[in-house]
Amino acid sequence: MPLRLLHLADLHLDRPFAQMGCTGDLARRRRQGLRDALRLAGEIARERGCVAVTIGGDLYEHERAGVATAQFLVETFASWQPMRVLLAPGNHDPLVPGSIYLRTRWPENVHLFRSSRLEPFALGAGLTVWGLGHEEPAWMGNPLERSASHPAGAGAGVHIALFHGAEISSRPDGKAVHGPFRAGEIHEKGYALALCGHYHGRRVDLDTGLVYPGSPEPLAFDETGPRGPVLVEVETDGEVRCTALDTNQWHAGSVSCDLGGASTVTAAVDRVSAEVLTATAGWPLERATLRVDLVGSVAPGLAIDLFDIESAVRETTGVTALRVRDLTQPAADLEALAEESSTRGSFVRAATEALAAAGSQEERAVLQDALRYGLEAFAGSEVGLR
Amino acid sequence: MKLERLEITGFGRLQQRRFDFGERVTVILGANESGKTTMHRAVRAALYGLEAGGPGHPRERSEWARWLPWAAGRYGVVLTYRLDSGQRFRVAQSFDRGKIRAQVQEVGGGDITNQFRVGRLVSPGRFHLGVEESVFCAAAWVSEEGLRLGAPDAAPQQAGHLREALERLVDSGPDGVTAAEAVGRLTTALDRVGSERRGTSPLGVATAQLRRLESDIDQARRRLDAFAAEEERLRHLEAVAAESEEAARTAERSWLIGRIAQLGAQAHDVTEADSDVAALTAALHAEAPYAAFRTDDEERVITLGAELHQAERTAEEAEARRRAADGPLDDVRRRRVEIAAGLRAMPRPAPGAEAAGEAAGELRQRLAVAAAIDRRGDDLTAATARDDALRREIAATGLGAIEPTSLDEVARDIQTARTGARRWHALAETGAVALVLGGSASAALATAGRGGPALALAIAVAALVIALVASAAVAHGRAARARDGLARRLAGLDLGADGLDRLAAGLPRVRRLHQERLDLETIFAGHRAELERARQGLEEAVDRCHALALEAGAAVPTRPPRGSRPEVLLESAGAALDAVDEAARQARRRRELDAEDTRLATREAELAELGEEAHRRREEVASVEAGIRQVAAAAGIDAGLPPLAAVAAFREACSHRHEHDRLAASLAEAHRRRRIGGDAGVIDRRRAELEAELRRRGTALEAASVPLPPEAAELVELERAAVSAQQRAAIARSESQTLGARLEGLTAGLPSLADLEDERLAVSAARDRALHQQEALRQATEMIEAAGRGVHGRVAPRLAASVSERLAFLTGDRYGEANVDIEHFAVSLASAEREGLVPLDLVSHGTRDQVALLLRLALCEVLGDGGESMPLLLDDPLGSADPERRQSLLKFLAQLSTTNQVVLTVSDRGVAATLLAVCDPATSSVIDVDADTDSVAVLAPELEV
Repeated sequence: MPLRLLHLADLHLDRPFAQMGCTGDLARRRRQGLRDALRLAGEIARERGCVAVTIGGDLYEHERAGVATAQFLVETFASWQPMRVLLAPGNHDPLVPGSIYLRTRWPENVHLFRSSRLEPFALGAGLTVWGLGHEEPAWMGNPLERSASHPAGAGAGVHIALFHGAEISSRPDGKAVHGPFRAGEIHEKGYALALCGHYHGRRVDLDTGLVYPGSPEPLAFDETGPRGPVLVEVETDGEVRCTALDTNQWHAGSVSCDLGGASTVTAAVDRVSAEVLTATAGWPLERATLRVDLVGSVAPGLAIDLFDIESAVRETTGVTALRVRDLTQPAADLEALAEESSTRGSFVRAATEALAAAGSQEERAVLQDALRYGLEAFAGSEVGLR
Repeated sequence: MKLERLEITGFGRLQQRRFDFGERVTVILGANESGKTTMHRAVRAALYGLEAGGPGHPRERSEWARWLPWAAGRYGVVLTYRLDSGQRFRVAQSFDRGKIRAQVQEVGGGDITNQFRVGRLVSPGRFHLGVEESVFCAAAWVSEEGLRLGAPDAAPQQAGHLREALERLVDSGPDGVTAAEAVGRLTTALDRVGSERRGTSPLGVATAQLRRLESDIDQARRRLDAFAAEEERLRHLEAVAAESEEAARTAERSWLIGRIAQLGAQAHDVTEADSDVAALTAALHAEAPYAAFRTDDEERVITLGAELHQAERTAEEAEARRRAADGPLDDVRRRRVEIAAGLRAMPRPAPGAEAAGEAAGELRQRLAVAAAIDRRGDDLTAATARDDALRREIAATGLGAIEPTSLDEVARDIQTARTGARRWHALAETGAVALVLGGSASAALATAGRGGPALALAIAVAALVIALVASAAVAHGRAARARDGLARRLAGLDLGADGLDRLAAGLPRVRRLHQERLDLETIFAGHRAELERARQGLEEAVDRCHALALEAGAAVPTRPPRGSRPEVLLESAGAALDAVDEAARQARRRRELDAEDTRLATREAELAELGEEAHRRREEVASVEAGIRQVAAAAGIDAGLPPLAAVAAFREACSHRHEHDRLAASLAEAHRRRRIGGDAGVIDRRRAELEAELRRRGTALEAASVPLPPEAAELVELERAAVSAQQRAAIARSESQTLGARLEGLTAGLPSLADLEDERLAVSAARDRALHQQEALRQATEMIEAAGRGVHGRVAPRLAASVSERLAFLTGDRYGEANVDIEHFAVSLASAEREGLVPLDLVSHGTRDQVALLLRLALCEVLGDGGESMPLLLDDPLGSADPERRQSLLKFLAQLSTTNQVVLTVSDRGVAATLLAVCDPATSSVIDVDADTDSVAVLAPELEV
């Protein structure tokens, strides 16, 4: 009879969702969805007969988590008894003064790893989980280097590491580096698996022993695909198996919509709506979050107002969490316009020169919009605010 | 540019037509719908191509479709034209469906089509005229609407429209808007965005909301932080309560353990007390006989016993010593008698005898030194003898009379004397030889007839001889003087050559002998002085010896006189010293005997004292025994016992009495302990109760380390500590409950930071976006205004200049100069008849028409970059004009044609005639569109693919 663990990480309770186009009630629903995900993980763990639930960091966001979050966690973990809960704080929920971890009276089945060095916690039957917690928001130590004692010297049995860290060779672009380590070190240091958190994309690699469950619910538009915790089974002979579970209730994604040739706002809305409906096919619309990038060359006379388009598409498609970005280009031959000897030509030349001399991305964006607004104005149409 | 020929294969209603243009004026005459406009359009199509639709613009709605030939056939035009430079070009545009082609050839040259490609079109007009098609249409192609000739009261509107058309053209082209209108739209958009200060605008609303949200978030954080602090305090209170409760439990447990131990000890005490009472009672009974024995004198008896013991021992020791001293005492006495006899027999020494004896030793040493020195006088005698011998040797050399310091001078004299003689002989011989030889030679020469040389030689020889003689004389003189000196010093000696030789040979020996004498003298000079001192010292020592003998009281021999021989002196001194030694010896011996006698006397006294002491000790013993007997008798001890035995008996009785008393006291104490200990059964019961309570609290007494019974104060302290801890725990628990209840009530009202942050992020994003839009709109406005100022500022003066250039000529000097407003291109004219500038809307129709045309031409020149003259294509512009104006305009056109080709379409033959009447026929042409005479077979050009 194998020993089972359920591993999850990066839940990010109390995270804001304004960047995903969710505010007010919708944002509250998203945050409730994160709580539901944790409860669901506990139910699954009980159903599967797990001896423990391991949480690899970023369980909540320290800057925003409050009393209610602490109460929720206490009640939830207490309801999982006698199943153990092993907590390894990460960079968003570090063990800093005022941390919920430190000022909450946890139920007896909860064990908090309080040191930034891997320390053992025996689950019985030869299974030991070695966990650590971040003591600061930007810890750069190597989790696998900082073991107070070594699994090799701790006797026979299966040793599993639990920590929040960044595996260097598979780091996603732009992801911050906290607790850097290499997958090759996992077996080298005597661990059968490293149950990690930090990267929001799922990765289960039994060859190296690296397990990132990913965020159980999407937290950004690029967190697409099925998501959920990972069930870990440890046999008496030391064999380990990992099964990724798809439990997410929310869906997120990103699509592009080409507005080239659209001559009216209505036409533009129709196109966008069609793309949205295609992208969200099969999703429960009340739990769908989608970002639409408008691309293509648009005639200067077509005034694109993002707010209007978002509102219209929401109404048309029923997708409430929608974020539209205008990445279209004006359908104007800037080179030809720049050669005009007219005021418009002079304006285009001035704008083009200013763009070339722009020192920052922000400055460039303003000048691009200024050029666009100017061309729209010269076209005699209403200037569409982007 | 001058248009020369237009060939139409198919274009609208025209097909297979060819039109030749006049050099300056071409009138195209035709009824309405006859194709006049089509012809103009064909020219434009040749110069700029024909738009045929594209993405988002169907072909069916394009210009291409509009001008499709009415009849089936080819669709194309060919235009031949000449530039101001004289170059001639032929452009062929073919618009057949699916095969739109173009070709441009320079007449007399090659295919240059590719030079004029603009996208999919070939537009030679764009390059040769330097203007876009839109500008060409706006400027060079004038329709009736373009001139808007109508009622007189339409002038302001006409001028306004013209200005607006100009401005639009300059700013963005004929289909665009003016810069001012564009700025107006941007301003409208800016109004939509609003500003941060305008509370009702989106930006203002976002800014206000953001401010409020930040304040709310700040407040929420503070509340949450306060709540967290209170939670932390609650945890602390709970921890304190838990700690205090645990401390109370620990203290109570410790008290229980201590009390149990105490009770155990108490029970043990009770048991012990019982057994003690029994034992003590039995022991006391055994000591009863001594209960009344008085022990007042015990100490005294003990002391006496010790004293007696000590006194007897001391007496014994003293007696032993006395007996041991008897023999030595007799010896001592006997010896003293001997010493006394010996002292009586010895003479009394002088007081200083012994000191003299010590001094004698020193004197003996001095005498020995003096004797040793004296013996060295022999060496001096020997040296004196040696010196005499040396003197005799020196005298034997014959130089005895010479002082050593003069030997060097004597040696020089001897040498001089010796060498002088030899030198004299040598020189004499040399001179003789020279004389002989020289004489012979001279003679020979003379004989040889060489008198001169002979004479010279003779003279030389003579000189030589003279010189030699002189030298010899000098040497002889020296030698003589030296001999004289020697003779004075060494009188009687042989100073001949042999004698001198002998003297010379003896000189070194004489030097050596003198040196030896000198050395000898140096050595023994010191010896002599020393010897003298020694002699003196000896005399003094002898004197001292005799004096010492007197001091010692010895028999002193007579002192020898001074100067006596040393051995006599030494003997006398020796005898005196011997006497001194003897006297000293005797004195020393007497002293020793006295000292011995003194010691013996002391010893005798000591030995005698031992006897006295033994007697005293015996008396002490007797005294102590008497005291003991007295006390023993008083205590009832058997008087017949020896004193020590009596003491022992007394002490034993006292010991029994003490034992008796001790037992009695112990018994009393045991009884007291028994009383205090209480009832054993009660104690056991209480212990059992406390042990049960301890077990109830989870501690087995066996498991707990049972300490020694604590002090009562310690138990009290434990009890106090337990009470204190309980009180602390109660207070902490109460406070934590109160605080917990209060926090519980506050929990529901705590703000959600996440909700607030969400809202703030959204509002912040909206505000940032509005600020971004605001900035972009502002920059667009600034750039457009700047561009407008720049372009207008450049174009307006050039327009004015271009119009002014022709204005006087074309208006007959009525107006000499035009001004074009920079901002909105309002035109005004300087009149010769009026002061100031006259706005265009106030001038006559005719002038306004003319100015309008000039402005169009000027615009082409200004906006174009080719520098080429523009043909004017006027499409029936005089349709509604009255005859007077028509006439005026026709004249104007005729004059204009001197600089720009005019192609005029009219439907009225009268107008055509009028125009031709005012034009030079050689440079004019009339084309009747309706007539078939101009219809020729126009071959479609074969265009290269």
